[in-house]
Amino acid sequence: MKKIILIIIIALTFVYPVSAKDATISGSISPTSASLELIDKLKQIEIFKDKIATKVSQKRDADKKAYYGIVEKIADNKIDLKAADGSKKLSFEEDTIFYSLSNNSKKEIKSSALTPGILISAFGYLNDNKETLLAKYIYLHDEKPSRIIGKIADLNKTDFTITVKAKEGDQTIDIEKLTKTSLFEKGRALSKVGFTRFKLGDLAFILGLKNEKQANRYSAQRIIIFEMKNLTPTVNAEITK
Amino acid sequence: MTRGIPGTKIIKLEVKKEVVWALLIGLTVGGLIAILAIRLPVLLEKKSIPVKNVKQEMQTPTMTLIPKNEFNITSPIDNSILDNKKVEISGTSEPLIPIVLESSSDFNIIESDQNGTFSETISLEEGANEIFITSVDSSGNTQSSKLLLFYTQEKL
Repeated sequence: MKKIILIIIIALTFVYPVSAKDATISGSISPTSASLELIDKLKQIEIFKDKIATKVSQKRDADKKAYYGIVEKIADNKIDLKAADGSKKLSFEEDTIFYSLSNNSKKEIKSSALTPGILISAFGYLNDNKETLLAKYIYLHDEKPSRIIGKIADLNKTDFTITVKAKEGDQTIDIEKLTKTSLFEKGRALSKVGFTRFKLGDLAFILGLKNEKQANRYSAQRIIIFEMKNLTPTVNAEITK
Repeated sequence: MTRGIPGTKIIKLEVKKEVVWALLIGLTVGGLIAILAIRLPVLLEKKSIPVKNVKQEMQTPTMTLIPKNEFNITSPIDNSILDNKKVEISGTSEPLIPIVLESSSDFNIIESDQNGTFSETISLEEGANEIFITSVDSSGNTQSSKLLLFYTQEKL
């Protein structure tokens, strides 16, 4: 009987430790588990480094800004800008690059070309208090054309002008030799048309430059005509600059 | 008579029945304990699923209804700084109506699909770009949105 009990104990001693070792992570440190732990730690360090880099990049991206507006004042490398959503402040340094964007060409210019009344866009990063844009690049723009939408209310075939009923009132549009005119008909491709195809009641999308001498008058650069026979008299016309 | 290799002795091992049984019992009991040790943590984990999670899984999903006729620009966002000359403008409007996309240098006319969504690319110029997106319904009524997008070739 003693022999039997002894054999059972020996058998239990052999089977249990072998299986239990597979089930749980052994407390004893073998060379393999130590190297695995090291690899894990290295991986964690890499993940941590990536997270820091992402955070830094996100912060820098959040500070990246661009402004667009008319220069109001320049003093000591500081510019006050009148933008559509309020006044903006920006500054420039010696390494800020200035470009002139005129007649579809880009040319590097000196900072002295910057004067009040000029339309600019500036790219850079906000300073620490987020109040001033530290400009890296400043683009000087030509005057931007206005955009007018409205129903054609009058056609003058002698003067080559059309009158458009816009949200802000009647606007006179001069059709120039260089004005690009297109006609949109539903289900058909856009076609180039002449002044003769313009009809009263058509909806016109106009891009034009303001006439300096006469208010509510524009010189058209581009006109897109929407030919719609069932136009209602109350068109939601608008003018946007 | 059993013949062996010349010069070798044959040793007979006699194992008692009790010993064999003891070995079998020992191995079986040891094996069961080992299996129990492996399975125990898994069984305990299964039992400890919080009730809250089960409730959450059973909640019915909520649906958000988007008004069909809402004119909206979904991408890109206003005042975005882009480093690509071409930008894709996406949005929603009434289904199957013309959408006019205009910049000072480019324009495009497309039609919204049956779900009222639209998407089209437009070219940008360096600097600031004002993009006008206008929907025109069958009565000629227009709805417009304006996006100010910045594009530069320079590395910021």
